[in-house]
Amino acid sequence: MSTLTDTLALAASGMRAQAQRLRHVSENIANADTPGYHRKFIDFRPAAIAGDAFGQESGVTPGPVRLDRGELTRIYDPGHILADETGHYEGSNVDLMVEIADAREAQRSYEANLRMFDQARQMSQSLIGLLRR
Amino acid sequence: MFDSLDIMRMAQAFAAHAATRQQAVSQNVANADTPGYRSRDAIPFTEYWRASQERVLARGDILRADEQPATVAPDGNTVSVEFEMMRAVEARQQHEMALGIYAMSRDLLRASLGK
Repeated sequence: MSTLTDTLALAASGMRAQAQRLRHVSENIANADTPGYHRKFIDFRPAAIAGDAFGQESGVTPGPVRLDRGELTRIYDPGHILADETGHYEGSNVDLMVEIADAREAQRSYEANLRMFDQARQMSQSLIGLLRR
Repeated sequence: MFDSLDIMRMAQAFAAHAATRQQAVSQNVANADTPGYRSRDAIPFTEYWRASQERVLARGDILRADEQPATVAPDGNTVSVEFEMMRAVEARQQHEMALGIYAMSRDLLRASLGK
């Protein structure tokens, strides 16, 4: 039983990490047109889950938020308030295509974790079902 | 008289093995995007059963990194979600079979007791 409970915690850690990732993706998309905005991203690392009887590094946790150091796009708009003498200003370095792909990947991984969660839940349910008869 | 209890013990171990396997699969799925993570699976049941007769198994004894992973991503991650789904179904079926055997032998025991 405790193995299945751990499995639930594991799947939950995966879902939490993917949700965190999706949060940053939506932040990037919301700021796609903000001048001077650097894209934020996180990576994942293995982590111990709380109450895991077996040991470390079985769950997953999002790492610290990092900024994309890529170059900002230069947009030509002489009328813009931030425009320099050449008529350009610096936009964000968010690539919407990348963000959408990232969001889709996060969603897929989230669903996969959810299915694992559901399956572990059903397995423990049928285990409990043995007691009912 | 209680010879048949052996099969219940085995069914129990079979279910526990399936649960561990499911845990391994969950762990792989949770780490599907973790750089450098190597996918792992539980040892086969025959090995598990033999070893569990001799000693109490720790998780390190049961889980093992895949030697020939289905895919290797550029960041060193070897989890293939499709492959994990397949393993999850296997674990599920194994678990159901174990519980089925357990329930069946319990009913048999009950019938022999006339209840």
